[in-house]
Amino acid sequence: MISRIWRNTHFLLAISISLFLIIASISGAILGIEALIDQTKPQSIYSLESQSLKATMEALEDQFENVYEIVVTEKKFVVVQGITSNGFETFYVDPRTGIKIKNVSPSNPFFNHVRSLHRSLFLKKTGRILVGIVAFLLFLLSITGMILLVKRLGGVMHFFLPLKENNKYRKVHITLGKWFFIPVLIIGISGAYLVIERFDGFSKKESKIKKYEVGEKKLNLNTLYLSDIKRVSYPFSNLKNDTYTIELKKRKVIIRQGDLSIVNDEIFHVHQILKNWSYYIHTGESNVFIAFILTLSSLALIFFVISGLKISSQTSWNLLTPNSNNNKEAHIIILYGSETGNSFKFAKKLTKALRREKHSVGLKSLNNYCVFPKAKKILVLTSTYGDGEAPFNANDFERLFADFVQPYPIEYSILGFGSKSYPKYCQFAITLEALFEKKFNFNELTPLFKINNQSETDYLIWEKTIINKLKT
Amino acid sequence: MKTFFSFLLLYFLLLNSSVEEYVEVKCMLEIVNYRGEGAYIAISVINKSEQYIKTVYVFGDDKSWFSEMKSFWRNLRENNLFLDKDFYPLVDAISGPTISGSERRLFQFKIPKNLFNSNYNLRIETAVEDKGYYVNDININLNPENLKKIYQGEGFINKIQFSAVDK
Repeated sequence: MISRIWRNTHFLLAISISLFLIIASISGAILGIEALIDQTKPQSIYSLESQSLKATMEALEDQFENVYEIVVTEKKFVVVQGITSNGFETFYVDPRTGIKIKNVSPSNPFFNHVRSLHRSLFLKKTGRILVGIVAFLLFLLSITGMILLVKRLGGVMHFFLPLKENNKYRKVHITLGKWFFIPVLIIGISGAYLVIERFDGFSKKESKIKKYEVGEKKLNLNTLYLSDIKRVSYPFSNLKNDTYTIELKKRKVIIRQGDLSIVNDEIFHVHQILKNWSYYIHTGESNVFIAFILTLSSLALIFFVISGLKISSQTSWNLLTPNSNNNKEAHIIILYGSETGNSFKFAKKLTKALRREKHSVGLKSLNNYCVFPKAKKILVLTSTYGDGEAPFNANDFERLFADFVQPYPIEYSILGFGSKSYPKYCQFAITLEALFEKKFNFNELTPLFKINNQSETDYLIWEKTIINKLKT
Repeated sequence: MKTFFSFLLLYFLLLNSSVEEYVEVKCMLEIVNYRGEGAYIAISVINKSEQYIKTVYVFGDDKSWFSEMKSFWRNLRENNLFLDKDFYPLVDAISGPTISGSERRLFQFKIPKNLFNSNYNLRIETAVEDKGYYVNDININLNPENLKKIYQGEGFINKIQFSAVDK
């Protein structure tokens, strides 16, 4: 039952966001590539951690008549705005020398469009909310996916063992799940946080502001490094009381230009810091490694959706459609135990074939076993899950089978689906056979039949035997 | 050959006469404290009938959000300035994704001298996605006296201070 909840939750989450997820992953991959490209540009400075603000300001004094602002972007570019011999200018500088690297050009319109799509699907506010919900659901999706993965592999210990799986889509889905569970989880939660933050999710919490008297506390610019700085805005005029505004990652300090004494020290609330962290980890703009992982994860997500849809088209879709039920009247009951939907597919096939032969047939999953008032034959088609266990819609069968007594004597036949690559080949079908044998008034119609790797020809052989048996 | 030189001479004469004289204006802008997306800001010279004469500075470098500044956007569309190559240098490249709440900016723009002391106004309009749009956050008569003062805006501008830089 539990396994069913996880699987169905996983499926429903995935279906509801798959379209958005495709859009977000494609645009995300493009943005990841942009972040990678940007960090190879000459203005990307890697030694910001060792470059003090004091040294930078002194270097700039040589090159500028008047500095207006220093900005350290998320991409680790240092931009300076001010008056040079050419007038008012804005350009990327090397903070060690203050020398111009190149002009700032407007951001690429293509990437802007992609960013806008990624953030809001071009739908402004509505789009942002949608994207936020999708991000949060992605977070849940990765958790349910992880639970299913651990179950599928038969425990955390089996995580690094080679995978036995014949279906290539399932194989892709599982392998990607192993590799990308953590990055996808982080992408989901950080993305969701960025949206919540944006909509004033925490607006009641204000940052702490400390005010100081003139000369009470001074700021040492030698111990402030560019890696901590976001923006330094210079004083407007030469007046002694005019101030610098220094915006750091975790606080904002306003200092007097005369003696560098602090006027105002604003320590950001933790949500601001979380936002910065989310931005850092979600965009990878300042870390090549993160940008690389993000790009890969985005690509992986595209394959997740495709392979997920491929697998689910055989499974969950079927499981969500209501069964055709005339079980109260049916003489023949077909029971299926299906994990991936294959056994169910064959069960439906059998139902059709028997109905063509004018039999009255009822179709139910093993977990829906109950009293069948007119049934005289029961045909079971089941696969085996994991280590010889029941598929999710058969895991309650043993209890039900013990509880209900059928009014007529029953002739039964069991068909097991499995793969010889597993040691416990068709184990659940074997378990069922043992149960049926012991049951009062239950008699074998045909012996247990096993099918390897869903062989169509083997199935048809069995089907023919059954049809012939039913004629007699 | 003679005609060629006379054309060349004419060309230089025209070129010289078209050189405009500018007043450089240093400006400090402080945004009110709010949360959310950054503000889009356009600084333009308008005439008495509110026609746009010249846009001198823009904050926010993503064109797709310019439409939030409705009046400014209409002007861009009507006059096809949207495609103007001369337009982009006006966009504040440093700001990147606009100005956010409680931030401060120091920058400089230039206004043609002939627009001073006549019937022109300096309009600063501001817009924040789904938080509102102020067409006249600042709207002052364009004269040297006015550009020496500090103003408080009607919308997202908390404080703005000008000083004309004479060359």
